[in-house]
Amino acid sequence: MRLKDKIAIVTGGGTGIGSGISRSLAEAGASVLIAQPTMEKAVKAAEQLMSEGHRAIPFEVDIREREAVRAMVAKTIESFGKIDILVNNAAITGSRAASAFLDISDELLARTIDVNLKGTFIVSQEVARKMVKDGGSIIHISSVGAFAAQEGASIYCATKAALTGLTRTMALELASYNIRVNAIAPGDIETEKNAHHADEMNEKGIQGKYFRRIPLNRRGTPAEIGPTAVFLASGESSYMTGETIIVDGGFLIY
Amino acid sequence: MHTNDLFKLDGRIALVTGGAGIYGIHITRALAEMGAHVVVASRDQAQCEKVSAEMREQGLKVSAGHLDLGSSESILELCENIVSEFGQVDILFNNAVARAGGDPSSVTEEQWIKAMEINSSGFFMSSKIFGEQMIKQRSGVMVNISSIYGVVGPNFNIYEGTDMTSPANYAFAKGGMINFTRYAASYYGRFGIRVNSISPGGFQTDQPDVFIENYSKQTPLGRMATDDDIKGAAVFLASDASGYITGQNLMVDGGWTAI
Repeated sequence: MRLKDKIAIVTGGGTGIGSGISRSLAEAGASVLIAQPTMEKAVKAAEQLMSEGHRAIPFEVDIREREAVRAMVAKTIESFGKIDILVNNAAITGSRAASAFLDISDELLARTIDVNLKGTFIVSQEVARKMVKDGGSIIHISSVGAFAAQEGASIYCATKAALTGLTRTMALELASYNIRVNAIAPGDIETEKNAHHADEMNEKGIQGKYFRRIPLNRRGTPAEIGPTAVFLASGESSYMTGETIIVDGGFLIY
Repeated sequence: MHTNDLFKLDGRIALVTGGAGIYGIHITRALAEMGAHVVVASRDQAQCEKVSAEMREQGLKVSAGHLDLGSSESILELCENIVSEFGQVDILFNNAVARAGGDPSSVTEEQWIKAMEINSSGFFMSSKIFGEQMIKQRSGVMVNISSIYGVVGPNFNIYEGTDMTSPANYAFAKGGMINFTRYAASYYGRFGIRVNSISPGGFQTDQPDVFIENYSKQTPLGRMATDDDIKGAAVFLASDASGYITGQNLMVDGGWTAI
């Protein structure tokens, strides 16, 4: 078991890509705190993992609120004694983040930055303040949108590009504490929520004329992101820090 | 599939070019430890025999082959030998490299051409010949061993106080290798073949202390790469754990290119 006795927090770990990550970490031996903005989905995901013999606890948190994040960190340590792995997966994404640049409201602008960037920053900072003692691995979930334009996703892409800089600088500053910081940039991953992605985008006036066949010629699954998180969380990536692994079936090649 | 099983390589047939060398040997060991049968091949078949015999004694499945990357006949013959013995080639590590020549002041035209014969033509023909076999199989994984110096230019300050330098051809070959990786990923993707590269940072061997110190100071993790550092990345990219990753260049550099 690669992650035997390891303790992980996965924000947004109850749905979509996050649930695939929680599952993979648990299967590799980690105990996982599954954080969600609403308790119901966190409970459902945690109960599913527990029913299969894994250790998981649900937690409701608004990652934009520092006090709420502190409570999440305290709960993890109270339940499991430490934190070895943090996966910053929670984000405003997909059709919820979509709007033409000319039409983006102040509300959408603030919400996207607050969750995707500020929330990721706060969680990282609070968790890293605990990890400085024994080291750890922090993984940001970025996106191919950090590297390539996506129609109707200007502020989303900007927040994901910001994670590239955050990853590198956290890697530099935290290296001496034996904390490695890397990111995963998934491509087009099919989840329950975005199964009808193209239709929903069309409804928002996004034409999708840049949608294209990729080299592997299929959408990915959350189960294909989880193993990369396991790799980055484990000692198998001992000499990797500041890096973003792109898991996109070749999406960004052209 | 269970997460732990995704990293296993039981039953896979792998070739590591230069797999008995100071760097390749760790890739060979990693793949074999995860269950693959690994063929190590180079011009120095005796060295390949020696390393594979040692690993077999440890219970690993490793065998030796002959490979001269300067000759496409040699590459083809190795491919045919592996296929006739094992029936398939699942994993190819293009790891062998010619480090011929020095910086632009010292490298000769002859050295440059000689290096290109291996690093450009040999690498390409290896990809092409084993790619043909993988197309027949409709599956396969190629991993190309590049370098941080395929991504960024060398910092010559770290060589101060030593007689070391960074070879000009190395930058040319490794940079080209990374974009050829993207080309190959795009081309072979339709056949179910994934192609990625790894760009390791400096690997600690018998360099002078002053170099090791200079290098380590410039690396966020504060050290050069050691024996185990390549193993995880090699297994990850060779296995189904990276099933949706293709055309990617994985930096295994202690943060060298992050700063």
